[in-house]
Amino acid sequence: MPDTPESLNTNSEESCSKHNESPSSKGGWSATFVLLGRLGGIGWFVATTIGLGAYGGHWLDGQFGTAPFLTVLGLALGVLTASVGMIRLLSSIRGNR
Amino acid sequence: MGKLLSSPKLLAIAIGVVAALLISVAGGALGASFGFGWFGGPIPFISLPAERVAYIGSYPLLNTTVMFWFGGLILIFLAWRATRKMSDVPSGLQNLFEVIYEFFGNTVDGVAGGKAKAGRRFLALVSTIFLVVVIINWVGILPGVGSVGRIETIEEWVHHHLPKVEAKVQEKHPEYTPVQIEAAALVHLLEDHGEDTFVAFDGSIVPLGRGEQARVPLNKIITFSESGLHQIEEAIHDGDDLDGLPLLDSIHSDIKKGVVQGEFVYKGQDFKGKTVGLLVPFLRGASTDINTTLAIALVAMFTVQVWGIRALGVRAYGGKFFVNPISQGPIATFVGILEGFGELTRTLSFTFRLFGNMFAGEVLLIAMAFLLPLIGIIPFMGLELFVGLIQGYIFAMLTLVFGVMAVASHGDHDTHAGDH
Amino acid sequence: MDAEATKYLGAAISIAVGAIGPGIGIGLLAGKAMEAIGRNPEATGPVQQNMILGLAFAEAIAIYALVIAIIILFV
Repeated sequence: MPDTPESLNTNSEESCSKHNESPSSKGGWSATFVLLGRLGGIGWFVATTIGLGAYGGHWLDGQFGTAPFLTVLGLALGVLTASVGMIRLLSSIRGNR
Repeated sequence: MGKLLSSPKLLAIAIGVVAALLISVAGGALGASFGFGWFGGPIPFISLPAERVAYIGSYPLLNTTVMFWFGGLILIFLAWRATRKMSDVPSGLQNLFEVIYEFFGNTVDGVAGGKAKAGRRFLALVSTIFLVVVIINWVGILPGVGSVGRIETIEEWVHHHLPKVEAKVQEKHPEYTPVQIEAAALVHLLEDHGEDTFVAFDGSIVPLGRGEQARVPLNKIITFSESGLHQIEEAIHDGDDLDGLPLLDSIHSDIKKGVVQGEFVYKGQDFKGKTVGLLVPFLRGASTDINTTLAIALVAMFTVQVWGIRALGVRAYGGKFFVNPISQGPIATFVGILEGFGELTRTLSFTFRLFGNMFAGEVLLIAMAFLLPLIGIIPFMGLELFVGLIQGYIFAMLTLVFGVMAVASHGDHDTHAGDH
Repeated sequence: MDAEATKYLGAAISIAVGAIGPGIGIGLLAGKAMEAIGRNPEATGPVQQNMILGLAFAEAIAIYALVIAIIILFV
């Protein structure tokens, strides 16, 4: 982790030229913040997906009265979406660098 | 250190990491004893048997069963995706499955020995066991598993704990009627667990860790006092009619309501009237349930016997366990019986190995999430990933080893890999 | 000493003493495996795989002790 800003600088200079407008290619503080923002966003994404899944399932349970089944189903779908999405976000961050 | 201080970016990141560490420590359980504790990690409620999530008709559906189906569906989906458009030069998911298959193919051939491809009959079950165990181990530590659940109310908690106390009371006083036993057990339970804390919730669905959950002791939920309990005990002792006893009635109704009775102020918020209980997770890793591991172990050992019988025939394979004492000597009979017990012990060993590793890991994760909220769980997640993979590998390899030992006829004993 | 205290003590002693043997065993096993790898780096693959097999047997004993401790505590 302490090495990321240095390598970010050199990597971005070698990356393809059509990206040299984005802040990640300028290096320095903007690149660090963009990276940190993306990484932090993953955590929020996971938490909100699982929360939405659970809450949504619970609300649907209230509508249809099928005691905890829909909650569990919603939670399971939320967990699945969260983990698959997390893998995709991480690989996109890795691919961009 | 010089490099750290000279570059401002590294310094900022280092300060950020240290700040995150301090915030986590202060917000967790350690900080809670000093008055901080804003993260309010959920109090670990560790239960060995899996908890019931729902009832299908009268069949209780456990949370681990749901996760086992979940893991199975994920495995089926992955296998389907990998074999959709198979190409000669594999890539992606197909490549991964081919790596696993090839690895186990080579291992099986290597361990089985003998002529080439002699181990192919073992390959299907061994690689299946590996994939299934690894997938259910890893799915069991996904975020959201074990942390989202329903509230076990006081009524269910009492229902859960009462039978044990009732058994003890029955031993001491076998002359009591069931009503008296229940009342005496209730008194004992309240005496012993009067200071036990439960978590007060804000409604039916609560995001834990908001820092507003309070830990309420039992004596604020069920109003009882020393003298009241003594009165009930005397009434039981005297053989009075317990039906109309007001103290007992109030205790029963308090249990049913399960809310905070008295004044309980925590961080400036009054929790009177809020529901109290413990968290029962909706999803829980399938291998943390002893039934799952027992099932897989039984399948493995049963198939080992089938392999042995197929390879050697019933008489020769049975001859390993039931030895004729007259022709071979009594010691050989004894050894044969020991081998039979060895098979049973191996089944148990399989069960407990996988269950112990996974359950201990889950308890560790829960405890670390409680003690050190944000960051404490990171290294243990890595450990859990590793342990899940290794346990799957070990399960598969041991099945293979026992299978090879089972098909080995009495002539070649050199593949004795040890009976633990 | 009342029953609750004895329960806790029993669980603690069970896992504490029960982890000594497997700890020593795993240490010996891994040490020998390291020696073998150092002496013959080409045989790393088989040595590693067999070491993990041996680890399983040794660790199972510790797991038995842990399961007993958990059963004492929670059941």
